[in-house]
Amino acid sequence: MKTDPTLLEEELRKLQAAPLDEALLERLEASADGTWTELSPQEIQVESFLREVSPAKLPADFLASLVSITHGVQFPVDQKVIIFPNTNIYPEKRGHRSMWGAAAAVAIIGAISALLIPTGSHSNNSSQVANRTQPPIISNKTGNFVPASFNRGLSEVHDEGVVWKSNNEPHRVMRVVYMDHVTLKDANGRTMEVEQPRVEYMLVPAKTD
Amino acid sequence: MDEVETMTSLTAVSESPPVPSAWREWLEEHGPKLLLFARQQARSHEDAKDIFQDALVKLVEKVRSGEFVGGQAAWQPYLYTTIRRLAIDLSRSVDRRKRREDNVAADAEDTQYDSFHPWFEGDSSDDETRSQLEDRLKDLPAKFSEVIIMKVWGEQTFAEIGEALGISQNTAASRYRYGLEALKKSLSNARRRGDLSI
Repeated sequence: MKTDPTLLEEELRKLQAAPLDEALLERLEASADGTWTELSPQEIQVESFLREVSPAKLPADFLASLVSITHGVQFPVDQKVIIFPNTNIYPEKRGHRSMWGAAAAVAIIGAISALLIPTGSHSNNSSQVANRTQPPIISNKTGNFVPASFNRGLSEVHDEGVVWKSNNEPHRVMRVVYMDHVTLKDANGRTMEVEQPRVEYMLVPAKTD
Repeated sequence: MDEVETMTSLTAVSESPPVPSAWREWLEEHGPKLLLFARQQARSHEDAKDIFQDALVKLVEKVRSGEFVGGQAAWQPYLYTTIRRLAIDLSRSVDRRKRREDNVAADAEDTQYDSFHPWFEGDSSDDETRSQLEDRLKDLPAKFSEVIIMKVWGEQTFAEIGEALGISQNTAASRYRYGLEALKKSLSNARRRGDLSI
């Protein structure tokens, strides 16, 4: 028996495609406006929960075999980066010490200097500046100098280049030279000024292209 | 006045050999995530290690010859893509071999070996969570678990995942959502059954 395709076509046309469900509509809309790849707060929460469990570390022998694959291959760095020959390419960022701690350290140096520098008649000027370039003069007299004031000023700043930290972020190494200036006084009113340079290295995040 | 330097003087030297630990540091940081992905793709722990190693060889060769484009930021996406490709190739060759030789004993040995090498780190207090998570991930369809692993632990973007898997980023996001939902339900069921104490 021959089936008339026209009749079949008509029957089929009477059927309607099922409407899109709400979830699919939302998905299509989000894909169209580019927000489908953005996670909801609940999804981020689930992600955070899962991340609390970490992948197992590489077995030591396997890690060693992977490292051996890289022997002789230079770990690539950006052309603008300069590698320091020091084994520690990440200089520690020095924390800020207490100003009074620094003053105390300088005071100790000043006190030691005071032991070595003569006191008395050859100078009417009660203020002396300790000069490290002069050889110390041994004296039998002692002085009890205590810190009277402390000052720190920025002396120099040098750009030592860029290093890449293990998290693939470039950091500029800045060599900062401070000059600590301590004024010491003793019971007789004599003052002594001591200057102590301090060098610190700081890592500053560097911008990349 | 002499400077009192707290650190060794540093001088800029171009083209000096890098510190030997740079590669090791990179592998220690990223290796576990990549091995996790390789284990999800492969049939056994040993196959996963082989695949990861082969992928690393390919990367290192490209870096050595200067062919690699994209810098360090592109290493992980490259490795995920390569691991997946190698896993597919290995799976096909294993299937062909298995059709020739039915080696049940070898399969059992692989399963036993894998049980002593869990996918996730953990101390005794969360061994259960770790073990349940591994089991639930293994139960998920591979197309969901691979996206979850790349996104959650590999921290790849949907665009990178799409690139690695040969799908659009929207499809990657969809698989991620479905997979995450399925994983949530599966873990909740485990908790209700008392298999999971969280």
